[in-house]
Amino acid sequence: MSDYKAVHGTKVQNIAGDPPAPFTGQVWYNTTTTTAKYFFNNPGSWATGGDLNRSSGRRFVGGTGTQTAAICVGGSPPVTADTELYNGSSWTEVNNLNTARYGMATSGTQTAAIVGGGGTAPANASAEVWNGTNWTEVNDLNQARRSLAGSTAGSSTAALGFGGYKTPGIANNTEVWNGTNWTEVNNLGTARYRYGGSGTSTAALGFGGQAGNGGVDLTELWNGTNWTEVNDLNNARQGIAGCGTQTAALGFGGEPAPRQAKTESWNGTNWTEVADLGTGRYRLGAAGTNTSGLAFGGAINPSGNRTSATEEWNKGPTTATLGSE
Amino acid sequence: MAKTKQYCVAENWGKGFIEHNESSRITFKGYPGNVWQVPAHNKAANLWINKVLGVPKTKDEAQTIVTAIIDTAQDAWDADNVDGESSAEKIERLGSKPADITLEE
Repeated sequence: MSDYKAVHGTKVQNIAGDPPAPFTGQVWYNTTTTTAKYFFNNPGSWATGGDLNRSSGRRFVGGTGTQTAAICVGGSPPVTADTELYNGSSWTEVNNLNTARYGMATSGTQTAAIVGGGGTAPANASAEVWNGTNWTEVNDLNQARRSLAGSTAGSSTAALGFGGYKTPGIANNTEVWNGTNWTEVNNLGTARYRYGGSGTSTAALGFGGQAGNGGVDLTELWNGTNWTEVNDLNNARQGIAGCGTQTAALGFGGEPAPRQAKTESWNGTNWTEVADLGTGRYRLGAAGTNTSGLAFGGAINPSGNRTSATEEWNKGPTTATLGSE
Repeated sequence: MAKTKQYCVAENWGKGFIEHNESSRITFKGYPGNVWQVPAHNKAANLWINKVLGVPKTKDEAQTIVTAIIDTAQDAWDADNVDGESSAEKIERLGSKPADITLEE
């Protein structure tokens, strides 16, 4: 029988940490965490991450950043201004928003982000920019609304806010943030709210959401000037979260049941169903990319309950702990 | 018919509770009451239950836990009313009424 050295040419190494560039099939012993680890090609799966600090959880949170450097803002109930940062393992509370809100558009990174709109009975137009330490109020959106979507892969100086609920009525407005002002541009084809967004201010994607009484499967693509309807989600739903880009996005969660755990991957043309979330939920937060995503918070059945659970999505080369098999 | 699912109760402690090398091999479904469903007759699933110190439950026992939580939430939803509020407004405020959950065999 072949042993590890015969296959790979070296013995299993003791390393203080993880190797910077492991190869598929490599096994090592992490002397820092005292665990045997290996590197494999993951077809796509969710693993649990560190919980948000509010143990009762929160829903309608805003989120952006990466899987190992994310930001979670706002949420409800009660409506909160809380801000938390994720480092790949745990969330840390930092300075609050100036205005507590839920269901806002979010764009940027953990150190430079913008939030716009959101619910504060019934909806507001205000926007705030995060510089890594504090939130500062900036110019308002033209249309007050909540449960709008944002270009999560955008930046704090170039973002998009689209759709939402404007009390009363569902909005199809799209607004572009240039670092100073919000400007109204061409509307969505279908007005909706509580839906997923990804991409940047010039190349975005909007999917799912609530257009009337129920969830829809519609996907629209923004090219910097106009929205165009493209191929639908496999599962119509509202309260879905999204991350990634216009050509490689991930949509997950949503309602009604049993859609709450469904995850779909967008390749620029079609949505494909991939592995479900461990904890089905809706109105959750998201960060990251199509291959390295993050889901946090949200509402779970029974409705009204919130979760503080975080899950990490990985597809492709992934490090795993050997001892947990 | 042989059962295809098994259930346990385990509290999700966060990072490391479910790892990628586990969820890439087995399908997890979380339910109210820290009830987790994983495949039956599956070595990886059995090892995961051992890892998280899961307390095994029959499908009926797991169903009882889940139903009790749903029933409580449904009663709370029914009792939470505001004078003059329409049904649509109530759903907007609270979300839809908690739905029944039926576990698989």
